[in-house]
Formats: sequence, structure tokens, C-alpha cells
Amino acid sequence: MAKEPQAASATQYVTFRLAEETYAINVMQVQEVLRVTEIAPVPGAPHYVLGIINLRGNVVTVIDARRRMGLMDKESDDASRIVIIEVGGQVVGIMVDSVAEVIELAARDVEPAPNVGNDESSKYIQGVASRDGELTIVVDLNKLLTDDEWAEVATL
Amino acid sequence: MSNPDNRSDNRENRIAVVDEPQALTAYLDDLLAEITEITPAVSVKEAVPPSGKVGDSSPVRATVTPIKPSPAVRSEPPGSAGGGDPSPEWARQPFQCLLFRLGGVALAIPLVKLTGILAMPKDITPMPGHSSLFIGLTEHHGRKVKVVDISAHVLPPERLSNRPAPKNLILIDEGRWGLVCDQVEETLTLSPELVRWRSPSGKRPWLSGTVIKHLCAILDADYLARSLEKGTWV
Repeated sequence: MAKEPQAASATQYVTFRLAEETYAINVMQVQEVLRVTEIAPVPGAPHYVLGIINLRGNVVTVIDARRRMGLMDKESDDASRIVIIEVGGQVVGIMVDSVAEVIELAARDVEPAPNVGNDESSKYIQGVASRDGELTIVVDLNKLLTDDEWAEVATL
Repeated sequence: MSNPDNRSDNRENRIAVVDEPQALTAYLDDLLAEITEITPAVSVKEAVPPSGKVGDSSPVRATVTPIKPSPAVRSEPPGSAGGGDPSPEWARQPFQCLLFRLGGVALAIPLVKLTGILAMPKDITPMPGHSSLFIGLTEHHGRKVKVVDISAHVLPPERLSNRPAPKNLILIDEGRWGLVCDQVEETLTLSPELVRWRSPSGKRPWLSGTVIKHLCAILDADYLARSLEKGTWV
């Protein structure tokens, strides 16, 4: 009985790994997870855009999550995945080191993102959750790019 | 044009000549010089200390004199030095400080502002997109501690390379912040007269004051926590 309210406020997240850290995104925004396929570079695209892929006849822009988050570049390998997400009606892929699992987090388990220095470039960090002695960074995909950047990606 | 340039020239010349321990002393000299310039009233107080230890500090102050730029005195609000006792309330009587090293420089934090000391945690979760001083988060007693390395803002540039691996984390502000340091050393009991308190309008707001006897700078933990939170740390 007592668990009812908590279960009701819990949200499922897909977790992925980037630079040895665990990130979580809302499962409702994840459409599918792909193995890395051929990515066609797009000349003049922003540095965080790896290129485009053909997803069953649809062109999907792939964003490098590492570059977007200011992390070191890494060659893709067998574990690398492209997570196809939907943000505001727009479908894009994000390249991650690996996809881990689907987890459930209650709203109260997610602490607000730490506020340190200029947070303009980290608005996409929605919060931090502690799981099994590790911290999971919860990402707000809607803020992964700014409105202008989403518009730019849409027109590639 | 001339004075700031002269100041940096002087500093460079001096650094080129002095050895490692002297370089450390030179850095503190700079801090002391600033304080001396800003709060002449405090300097007068400093001259009063009852113990005969003033002699220890005299050579230090002597080395300060050549690099002291006179315009800096004018750049401070004239009224700033006359505002009375600049020491914080907790320092109106003998108080204790934790002495630690950052890039080899001796720094201190008053125990009343210290929440705890940790061995450098192995698990620090970096948070992308943040200020470079923010190393990441670590957990301590179920609480997330924001780990910061303030050395780039506190240390002289030549001290930033070849730093030893940090061994400790100093917790302040109820454990919200963890300051990375080379290692903690000892606690000192200080009487207020031994400290040159910094004026609130000084250039280094993170500095509470300096202790000539121990050649260390006392950090203003409240300012650190406040400015880190606001992102106004520069």
C-alpha cells in the first residue's frame, strides 16, 4: 500500500555509458537502439554532428554525445550504439559508448543538477541519482541542444 | 602602463632568481603586500603584537617593498581601510585553523568553517559542461559533495604544473563543497593579532588573511561556498 505513491511517480530511464560514467534518458523518448552503421558526414555541420544515417528510408542526424558534452573523442567500437530519440517531434540519433539497461527512478531519487560556475553549457543535466553506490547523471534530452541548434540539426 | 608592467617585471625577475621555498614565500609576499596596501589600519595593528615574533616577519616585509605598486593604493576606495576591525567574528579570540597544502602553498581554513576531511575519494563523477574547477560529485554519508579544485584561481601560474596528486578533500559549507588539496598537515591555534586580515574590497576575496609566522594564507570558506554556488568565482 505504502509503495503505491512512489511507484506512481517513478519514471523509466534508459542508461548509457559515456567516458566511464552512466547517463540516463527518459525511456519515453527512446525509439530504438542501433549498432553503429555507416554514418555519412555532412559538410559544414556543427562539430557535435557526426553525420546522417539512413534509417529504413528516413534520414536521421547523428549527434556525438561525447562532443556535445565536451568529453574526449573516442573511436566507436563493438559496444558503441546509436540511440534513436525523439525530441519535440524531431528524430535524431545520439552516439554513446554503450547502452546499459532500463532503470526506474522515483522523482525524489533524482537530485537537482549541481550548480557550479557557468551552467549554460550544462543545462541538459536534469539531475543526479545515486544507484548501487554510483552516481547516474539524468539528462534532459529536450535541453541537449538549444532551440536554435535543434532547428539547425533539423535542416541538415 | 608603467606600474602594472613594472610589477609583473619585478615578479618575473624575482621568480627567475629565487629557488623553490623562496618562490613560495614570494607568493605570500604578494598576498601580504596587497593586504598591507588595502588596510593600512591593520598594518598598524600588526606592528603592535606583544610577542617578540615580529622579527620573524621583518625580512618578509622587506622583500615585499620593491614590488608594491603605488597605484594600487589609489585604486582602493579610500574609506575601505578605515572601517574598523576587519577580522571576522569568529576570530575575535584565539581560534584554530587547519593547515593544508595546495600546489605546495600553505593554506589554512578556520576549524569553525570546516565540516570534515576526507581521503581523496576514488569515485568522483565528472559533470560535463561545467566550470573547469568543478571536478565532479562524490558521495559522503549519502550526500553529494561537489568537488572543486580552486588551484587555478588561487595559486600563482608557475605552481600549477607538476602538482602532486591530491590526497585529501576538505569539506566546507556543511559538506556541500569539497576542496581538493595536496594534503592536510596540522592544526594551528592562532591569536587574531598574528593574522593580517584582508579588507573586503581587496582583489582576492577568497582570502581572509595571512599569517606571517606560518607563511600561510587563510581562506574565506564562506566566500568560497557562496561564490562557487553563484558561479561568480573568478
